[in-house]
Amino acid sequence: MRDTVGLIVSLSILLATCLLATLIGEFWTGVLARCVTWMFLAISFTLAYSYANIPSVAQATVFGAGAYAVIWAAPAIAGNIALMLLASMIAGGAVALVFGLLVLRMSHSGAAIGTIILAVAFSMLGNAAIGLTGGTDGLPLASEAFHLFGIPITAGPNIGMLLLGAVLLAILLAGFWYISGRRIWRIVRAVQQNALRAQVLGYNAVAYRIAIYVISGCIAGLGGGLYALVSRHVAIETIGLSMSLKSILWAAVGGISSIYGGPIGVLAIQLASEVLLRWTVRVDLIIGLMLVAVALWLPQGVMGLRTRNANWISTIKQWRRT
Amino acid sequence: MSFSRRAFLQSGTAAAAMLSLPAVKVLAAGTSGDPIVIGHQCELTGWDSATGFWRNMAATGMCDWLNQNGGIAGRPIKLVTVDTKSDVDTGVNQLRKLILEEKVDFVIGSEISSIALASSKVANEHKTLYMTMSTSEATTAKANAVPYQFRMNTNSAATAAGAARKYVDLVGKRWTTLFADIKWGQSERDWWQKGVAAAGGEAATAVALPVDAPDLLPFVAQLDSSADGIYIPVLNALQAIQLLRSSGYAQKIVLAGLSFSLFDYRELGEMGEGTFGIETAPLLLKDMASPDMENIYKALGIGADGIWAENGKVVGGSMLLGIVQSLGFLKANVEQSGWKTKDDTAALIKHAETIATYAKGPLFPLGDVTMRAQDHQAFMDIYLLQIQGGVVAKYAVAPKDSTIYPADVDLTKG
Repeated sequence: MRDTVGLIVSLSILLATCLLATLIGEFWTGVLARCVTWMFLAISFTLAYSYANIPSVAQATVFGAGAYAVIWAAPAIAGNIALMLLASMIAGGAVALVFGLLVLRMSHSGAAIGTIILAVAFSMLGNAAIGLTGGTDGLPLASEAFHLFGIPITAGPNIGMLLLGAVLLAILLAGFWYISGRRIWRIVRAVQQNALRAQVLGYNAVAYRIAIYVISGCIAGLGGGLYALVSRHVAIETIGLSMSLKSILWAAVGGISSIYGGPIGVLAIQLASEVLLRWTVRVDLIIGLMLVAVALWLPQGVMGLRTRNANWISTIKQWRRT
Repeated sequence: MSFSRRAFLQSGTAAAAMLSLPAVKVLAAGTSGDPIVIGHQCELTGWDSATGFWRNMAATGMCDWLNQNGGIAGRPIKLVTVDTKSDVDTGVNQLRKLILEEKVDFVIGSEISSIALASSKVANEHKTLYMTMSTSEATTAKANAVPYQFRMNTNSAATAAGAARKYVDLVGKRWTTLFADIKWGQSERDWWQKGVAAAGGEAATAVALPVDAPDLLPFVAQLDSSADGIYIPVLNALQAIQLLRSSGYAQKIVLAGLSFSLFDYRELGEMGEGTFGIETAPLLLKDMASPDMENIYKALGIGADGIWAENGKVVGGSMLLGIVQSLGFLKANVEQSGWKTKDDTAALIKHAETIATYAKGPLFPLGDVTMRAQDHQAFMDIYLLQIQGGVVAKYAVAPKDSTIYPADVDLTKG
C-alpha cells in the first residue's frame, strides 16, 4: 500500500531543507548537507529492520564501505561523481550481501547480536588495516576536479552537495512509493510478516529478504559515498558501532516502520544536538532522555502521530454520534 | 612586553584609543575596540578530555589574564570554545561553526592528530590561522603542511631528536616501543627509532596498540623483555605502566611527548617511581626558575607544586605551555604586523615567517622559542622529567637546538 502522505511529508521536508539552506548561511548548509547523507543511513536501517526482518546494528559498517569506496576510487576515476557513487552503492551492497548471508538464518534477536559482532569485528579490522583505511586518523578525499556528467561540482559541505544528496534522496523516496504499490512489494510484505507462510505459498522468502537487505546496503553505501564527498575525510569512527546506534535512533524517532520517517528523525536529532551544543557539552545525555520520552510516549515515532491522530479523530466522531 | 596594567595604561596609544572611541565595547580593563575573537577547538568530552580539560582551563584563564593586562594590541580578546567530543566528524563541524558562525579571527586547534589533519585544511580554505595543538609531526609535514597552520608546541620529531640521545646514554642502547596506532603514535615510533639509531642505540620491537583495544595485556606481552628501556607513546599511559610493572617488566619507562598531561601521575603510586617523561614544561615551579611562569601559575590558581587549587589535580604543564605560547605568538604577530581584521591574516603570516625567535617573556615563560619559517614549527627546550620520591621533577634539559630536525617542506615559497 502506497503511503502518499508519508511521501509528501518527506519530500516537503527535503524541499524545505533545501530552501532553508539558501537562507541560513554556509555553516548550517553544511550541517544540512551532512544530515541528508545520514538520511540514507536511517532509511537503510528501516528497510533492513522492517522489510528484510534483519535488525542490523551494522548499517554504519555498510555506510562506511560506501564512504571508503569513494575515497579509494576518487583518484582512479578522476573525480567522476556518478562513477564514485556507483562504486559506493556496489561496495555497500556487497558488504550487505556478506552480512545478510551470515545472519539470515538467525532468529530476530540472534541477527541483532550477529550484526553487533560484525560491526565490532569490521571496526577492529579497519583499525588494524591502517594502510587501507587510515585507522582512527582516517583518509582525506583526494583533491580532484569533481564533476557529475560533465557539470563541475565542488566537494564539501556546500549547497551543491546538499542539492545532489536531496535530489538522490527524493528519487529514492519516490521510487519506493512507486514500488510499494506494486505486486512485488506485497510479496515483500508477506515475507516480512510471515516468512514461513510465504514460503509455503511458493515464494523464496530467503531470496526476498536477502534482496531487500542488499538494497538497504546499496542505500547505506550511497549515503556513505555522499558523506565522503561532503566531509572530504573518512575515519574508522564512521563505521563504528556508535554510528550504527545513531542510525537506529534516527529511524526510531522518525518512525521505525516507515522509510519516510528516517529523514525526520535525522533532522530532529541532529539539529537538536547542534543547537544544544551551544549551551552544554552534555548533549548526548539530553538526547538520550529525549529518546526515552519518545520510546514511552511516541513508540511509533513521528510518523506514528498520523495513526494516533486518526484514531483520536475517529474516537471523537464516534463519541459525537453516540 | 609588560603585563602590568599600570604600564599599559601609561601607553599613549591605549589612552588615545580609549578617548577617541567612546562608544566602543570595552570587555576588560585597559582594553578597547572590537574584540579579537579566538576560537578554541578543544576536547572537552570524549577520550582525550583529560588533556582537553587543561587546555580549556589554560585558554580560559590566560585570555582573562590577557584581558586584565591590555589584551592584544589594546583590544580585548573574546574566547569561543567548542567541544570536539574527541571525534573527527564533530571536531571539523565545530571548527566550521567557529569560522562561519562565530566569525573567529584565529583558532587554537585540536590536540588529536586526526582532527588536526582534517581541520587544518578547512582552516586553510577559509584563510583562518590555525594554531595546532597536535604534537604529531605528520600533521604539519609534507602534504599536510598548509600556510595557515603554525605550531607553537613541540612535536614527535623534535622530542625524539632532543631526548633520544640523552636516554640512550642514561638508560641503555636497546629499546622497545609500545605505541598508539594513530598518526601521533606512529610518528613518535618512527622518530624515536631514528633518534635512538642516531645515538648509536637499537630500537628493537615496536608493538602497535589499537586505540580501542579493551585489554592491553596481549600487546604488552609482545614487548621485548631484553630491552633496556621501554618507550611509550600511548593514550592510556597510566594503565600501560601499571600493566608493565605488574607483568614483571622492570625496565626504565619513558613516556612520550607530553604524556604526563594524560593522567595524574600520583595515581601510579610506587609503580610510577623512576618513570621518565618528555615534556615542554616541568611541573614544579622550582624546576623552572621563571618569574613569568610563577605569574602564570598565580593567575591560574596553580600552586608551586603544580597542583591546581580548584580540583586538587596535577596540572598538565605542557598543555598549559602550548596554549600560552600560541597566545604569545598571536599577540606578538598581531601587534607587530599591524593586524586589524581577518583580511590582514595573510600579511600576519608573512610577517611571522620573518620572526626567527620569540624572546623569553610573559608569554614565552620558559625561554626563547625558535620559529622555523619553512614548516611553521617552533622549537623550544625539552624537559626530561622523572618521578622521584613520588614527585615529578626535572631530571635534565635537552636544549632547543638539539631538537631541530630537517624540514621537509618550504611554505615560504608558496
